[in-house]
Amino acid sequence: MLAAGKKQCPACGKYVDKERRICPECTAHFSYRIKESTLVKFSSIFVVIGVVFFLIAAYWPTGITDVEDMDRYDNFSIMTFKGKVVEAPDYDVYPYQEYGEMKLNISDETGYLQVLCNSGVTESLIKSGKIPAVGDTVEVTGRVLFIESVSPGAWKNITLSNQGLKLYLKGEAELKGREDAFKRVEVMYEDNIKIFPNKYTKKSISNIAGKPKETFEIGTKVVVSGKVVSVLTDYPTAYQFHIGDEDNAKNLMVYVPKGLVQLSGIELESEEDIIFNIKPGSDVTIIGALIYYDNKEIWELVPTSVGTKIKVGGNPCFEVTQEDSSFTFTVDKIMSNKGLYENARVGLNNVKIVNKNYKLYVKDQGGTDEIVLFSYGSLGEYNTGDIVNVEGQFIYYEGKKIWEIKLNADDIREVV
Amino acid sequence: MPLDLMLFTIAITTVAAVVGGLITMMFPGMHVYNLLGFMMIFSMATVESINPIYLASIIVGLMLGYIMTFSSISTLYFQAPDDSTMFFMMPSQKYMMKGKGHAAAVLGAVGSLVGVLIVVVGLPLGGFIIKIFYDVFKEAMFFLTGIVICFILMSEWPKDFGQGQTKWQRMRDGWSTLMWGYLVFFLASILGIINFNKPLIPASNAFQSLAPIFIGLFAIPSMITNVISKTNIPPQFVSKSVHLRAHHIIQSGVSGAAGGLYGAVTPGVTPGPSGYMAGHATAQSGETNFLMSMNVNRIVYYVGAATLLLHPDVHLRRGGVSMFIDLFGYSPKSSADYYLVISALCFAAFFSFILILGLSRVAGKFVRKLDFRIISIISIVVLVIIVVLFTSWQGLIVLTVASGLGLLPVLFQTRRMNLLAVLLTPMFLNMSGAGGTVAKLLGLI
Repeated sequence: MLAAGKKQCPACGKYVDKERRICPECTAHFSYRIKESTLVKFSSIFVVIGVVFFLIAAYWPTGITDVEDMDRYDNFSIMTFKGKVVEAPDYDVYPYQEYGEMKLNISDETGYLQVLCNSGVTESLIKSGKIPAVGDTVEVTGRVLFIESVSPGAWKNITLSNQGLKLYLKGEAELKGREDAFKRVEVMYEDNIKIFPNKYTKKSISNIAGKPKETFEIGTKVVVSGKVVSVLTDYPTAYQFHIGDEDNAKNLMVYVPKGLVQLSGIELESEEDIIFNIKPGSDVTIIGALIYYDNKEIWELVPTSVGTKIKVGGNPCFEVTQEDSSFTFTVDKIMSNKGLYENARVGLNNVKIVNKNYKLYVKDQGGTDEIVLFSYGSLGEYNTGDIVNVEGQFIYYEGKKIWEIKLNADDIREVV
Repeated sequence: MPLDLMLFTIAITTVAAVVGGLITMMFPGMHVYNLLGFMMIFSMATVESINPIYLASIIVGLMLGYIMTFSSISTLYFQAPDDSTMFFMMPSQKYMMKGKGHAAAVLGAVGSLVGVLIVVVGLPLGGFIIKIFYDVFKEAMFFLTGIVICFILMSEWPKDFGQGQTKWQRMRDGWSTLMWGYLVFFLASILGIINFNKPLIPASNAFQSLAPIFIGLFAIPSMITNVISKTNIPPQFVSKSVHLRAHHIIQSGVSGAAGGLYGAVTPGVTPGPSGYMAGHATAQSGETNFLMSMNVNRIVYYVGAATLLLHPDVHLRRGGVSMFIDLFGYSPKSSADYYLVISALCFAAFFSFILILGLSRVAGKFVRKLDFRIISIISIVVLVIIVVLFTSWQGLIVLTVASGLGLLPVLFQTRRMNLLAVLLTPMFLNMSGAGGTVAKLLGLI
C-alpha cells in the first residue's frame, strides 16, 4: 500500500518522498524515463534495417572473379568464376566404387582454370544429363586452390593424372601460359554450377566428317545419327567407335570417356566381348560437342551424357535405337577400309585359311583380300583349307608393316 | 543469391545468437573464444559438407548472443562483489547491489543495440575510413599497441587510497598498489613472451593456446572471488522503465565505437583497454554512459571486426573471430554476402534484445534462490574441463599458473587490465622487431 506523500522509485522499487527527483536509495532519476515496451518498439527498427539489407543482398549482382585475378591469397576462399569449357570433361572414378569426380577446364579469356566437381555434384550432373560440353559456358562457385610457380614438369604430371585430358591439349586447345600456376576451383554443391549450354543443331555425318578444321568452332553442339561401324579397343581412358552414314562413305569418331560411362551406372558387358554395349551395326543418335583432333586431322564427337534413358532437352542424348544383327565384317570390307577399322574389334565368319606358318592367313570364301591372324598362343591345330570364325583386334604391325588380327586362344573356332 | 540460402543464413544466425546467449548465461565464465573452440571442432567435421557462409553466420551469431548476454546478464547477476572489492566494482555490479540489476541489464542491452546499429549502418557507410586509417598505420601498428601499453601503465598512477594515518603511510599505500600493478604487468608480460616463443600447449591444440591463459587470468579469479564472497545478492526490482536520454546514446555510441574500432584494428588490443582509453578521450562520465558504452565497445570490437572481414571495401582480418571465419575458408563472394550477414545480424540483435529482457526478468526473480557461489563452482569445473579438453594436461599447468597470476590484482587491489600485458607485450615486441632479442635474453630461443 502506497503511503501518503510517497512514491515508488521506478528503478529500485523503494518508497521515497513524492517531491524527490532522484531516489535517495539508488540515485535513479525519476525524469526522462523510457518504458521497456517503448524500447522494444524502437528495437523493431532492426527488423526494418534487416529487411532492407536482405533486399540489397537479394538483388546484388553475384561477384564473378577473373581467373587472372586469382592468387595465392585466395587459397581456400570461396569464389565465383565464369568461363567457357575448353576441353572435354575428364573423370576420376574411384576404383571399385560407383562414384568419382569430374574435371572441367574452363577459360574466361583472362586465364585457364580447372573446375573440380566433387562426387555428389558429378553424380547429380550425370544423372540429370547435364554434363557441360566443350564450348558451353559455366558459372562455378567453390573453394579455390592456387599452386604458384608450377614447373612445366609438375604441370605435366597434373595433366597426365587427368585421364584423357592430354588428347585434347594439342592444337586448338593448346593452353598457353598454363605452366605459370595451377588454378582450381572445387565445386561442392550442385547449385554452385550453372551451365549455359550452346544450342545444338542436327547434322549428318557427311556434313562433319572430313571437313577442315575451320569449318566448325571447337565445341559446336550437334545431333548426329548413324550406324556404328567399328568399336575401338585400345584406349585405356575412353570408349571409341566410328559411326557412319547409310552408305558408310563417311564416318565420325565418337569419344566417350570411360568415367562418364562408369558413373552413369550402365551395366557393362565383358570388355573382352563387346565394349560399352555398343556393337557394330547399332543405330545411334548422339548429342555431343565437336572436337578437332589435330594429330589425325579429324573431327571427333564427345557426347554430353550416355545411356539409353537419358534425355537432354527432350531429345535422346545417346540412344541406341536398334541393333542390326545382320551386320557382318568381311576380310574385303576390313582391308579396303583399314583406317576405319584400325584398333577395332572385328569378327569374321566362315573365312578360309589359305596359308600357314606360325600365323594364319585367311580370305573370305570367294574373296580377294587376305588378312593375317596372329596369336601369342598356338595356332598349330588349324590347317590350310579349314573354315573358321574369328574375333579379335584389327591392328597395324609397325615392325613388318602388315595389318593383322590379334587373337586370344578362345577367339578362333573351327566351323564344322 | 538463392532465397533459401538467404533465409537459412538469417535463421541460423538468429538461432546461434539465442543459443550463444543461453550458454553464456548458464556458464558465466565462458569466453566467446571457448565457444568458438567448440565451434571449430564442429566445423572441422562438417566444413566439407556445410556451406561456409553458414559457419560464418553461426560464428557471428554466437558472438553477438554471447556479448549481449555476457555483458547484460552474466557479469551482472552471477557475481557479487564484497566490501573489499567495492572500490573497483563495475557500475553494473553497483546497480545490482542496489537492487536494480534489471535496469542495468536493460541499459546494457540498449548499449548493445547501439553497437549493432553502428556495425550495420556505420560500418557499411564509413568502412572506407577504417581502410584509410589501416593503410596509413599498417607499417607502424606496434605504435598503436604501444600507446595502449603506455595508457595502461600510466593509468595505474597515481593511486591514493588515503588509508594511512600519516603522509608516509599514505605514500607507501599508493606506491604499494602502483608497484603491485607494475609487477602484475611485468609477470603477465613474461608469461605472454614464454607462451609466444615456447608454448607448453602441444602444437596439435595450438588453435586454443591462449584459452588456458585467458581463462586463468580472468575467468577463474572472478569465479574464485565469487566463491569466497560473503555478500548476498539483494532483492532485485524489475523496473519497467530506465532513465535514458539522447545524449547517453550519442556519448556512449561515440565512445564505444571509438574504443571498439581502435581495439579491432590494433593488434593485441582487447576491448577493455581500448574502451577505457576511448572513455578518457571522450571525457565520458556517468554510470549510464559507462554501462552502455562498454557494450557498444564490445559489439563493435567483436562483431564489427568480424564484419570488416566481409566488408567489400575493407576486407580486413583482425581479431580471433575473423581468423576463425577465415580459417573455415570463408571469404565473401560478393558484397551480397556482406549485406546478407548484416541483415542476419539485425534480426539476431532484435531477438537477442527481447531474449535479454526476458532472461533478466527471470534472473532477477531467481537470483536470490540460485546460489551464485555454486554456479561459480560449476563454472570453474566446466572451464577446467574445457581447458583439459582443448589443450590437454599441459593446458592445465598453464591454467594454474595463469590463475595464480590472475588472483594478484584481486588480492592486491590493482587493475586487472595489467594482466592484458600477456598479449600486448609480446605482440608489441614482435611487431617492433625486438621479440627475438627479448626471447633470446630470456633463453627461450
